[in-house]
Amino acid sequence: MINILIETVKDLAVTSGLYNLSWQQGIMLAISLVLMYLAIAKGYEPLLLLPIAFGMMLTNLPLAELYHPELFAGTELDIIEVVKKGGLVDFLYLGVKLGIFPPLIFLGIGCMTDFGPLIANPKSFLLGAAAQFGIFGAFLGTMALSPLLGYTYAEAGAISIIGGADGPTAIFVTGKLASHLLGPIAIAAYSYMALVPIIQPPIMKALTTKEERGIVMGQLREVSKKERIIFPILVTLIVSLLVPSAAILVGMLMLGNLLRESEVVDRLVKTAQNELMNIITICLGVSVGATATAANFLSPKTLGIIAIGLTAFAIGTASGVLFGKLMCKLSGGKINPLIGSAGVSAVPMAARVSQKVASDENPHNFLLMHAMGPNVAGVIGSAVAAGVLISVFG
Amino acid sequence: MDWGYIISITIIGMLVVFAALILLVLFVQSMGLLSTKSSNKDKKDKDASTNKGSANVTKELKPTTTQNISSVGNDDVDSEIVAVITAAISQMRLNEGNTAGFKVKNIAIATNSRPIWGLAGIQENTRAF
Repeated sequence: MINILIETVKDLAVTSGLYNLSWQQGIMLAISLVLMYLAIAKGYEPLLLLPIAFGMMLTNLPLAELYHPELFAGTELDIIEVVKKGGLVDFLYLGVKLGIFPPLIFLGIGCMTDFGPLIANPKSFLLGAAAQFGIFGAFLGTMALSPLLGYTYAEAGAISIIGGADGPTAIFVTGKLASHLLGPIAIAAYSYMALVPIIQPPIMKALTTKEERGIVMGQLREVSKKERIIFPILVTLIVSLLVPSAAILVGMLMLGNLLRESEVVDRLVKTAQNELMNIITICLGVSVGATATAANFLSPKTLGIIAIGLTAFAIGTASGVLFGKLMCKLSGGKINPLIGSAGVSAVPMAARVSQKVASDENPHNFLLMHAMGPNVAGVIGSAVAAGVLISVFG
Repeated sequence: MDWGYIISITIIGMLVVFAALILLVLFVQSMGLLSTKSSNKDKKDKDASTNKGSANVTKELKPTTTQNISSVGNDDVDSEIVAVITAAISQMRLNEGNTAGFKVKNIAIATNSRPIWGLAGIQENTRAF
């Protein structure tokens, strides 16, 4: 009787999570707790970082088997296997692997975005384009590290999209090109997006003069309702005809915007902005976090991703500001180069940073709406760059 | 590792991004020009047709405003506030090219179509993704 008791207790102990916890899983659990602290206590992009951190914690619980990476390994996805052997997190992850969640997030973002400042000053598109050098500069940097860390072209493409400072785009591209790096790339992308107010200002101040920072820009013209309605249709057609791989991201972004600007489907707009966004955010965050298993995350490649991510943000900011300086010279001093840094598509944080740095110089300089133009142009620019990377390396 | 390939991908990628956005600049600028021309034309047409009435607008506005202050729905609204709001509406209509007279019948605080929690949620959601 006692032997049976001892055997039962022994069996229970051997099958417990504590007994099977490896040191790598222990480290991942600790990292997930740190990320949760950053999200909750410090407010670092909590909407996504908190579910990502919790997903990371869930996937590293020994024997819980909430996520089965072997179901998604390889180039072909066997849906029948996922249905037979998968659990909740595996099904949620299908939304990432099949590229469903990020476009739906873009739908909600389109519903919340006002493209008026961009339509009023279309030259802002060029600043949005210039800032995308952060993506391709990061690509060069990643390939330079390739002999050391062994990155493939597809992995480099996925890592470099961090430079676009756009979470859904980063997740979409990584899901297509290097899904095994989804955890570290998503965490790096969202962490650096939260750090935009710290990363950008020193670069902006270093590359501009006091006079340039003090430039007051003229008021933007009124944008008619007709223009606001035609704009999303125009952007979808032009970008999709040029870069078909970007069609899904840009199309959903512009669909959301068209729903908003048409003013005839208020119910759909409210749903897309609120319930849909929130549901997708939860599902996306948990499933992305679940890919951060110890085997995927604790590798030298992750350290490389963290370093390259920071460099990508810095390059994107610098290239936007430098292009802003060029436009300032060509326009005879009418354009404040600080709005160039808003070309990184961290909406609306990057535009707020431009406003803050300008108002430090001149408290009466209201640059926010001017900076919103390049900021939202950057979203379109990063989607185009994502389309290029997917069509080349996908 | 082929650096020629890597650099060419970088250059082509940037060129494609710039090409797409330059095309958008051209189309959006054209759209803006057409829209501005069209609204200027409408403004000129309206000015031409209501030119005779413009002299009467000021006369029409003043008595209309003073006549109706006493009938403004909200008793808490100061008559000076009513005058300021009416003047702002008048100026806005003149800017749009609308010179027809108008009557202020009621001034009341607009209730937001969204509940405050919905507004707070949207503000939370518009933070950067």
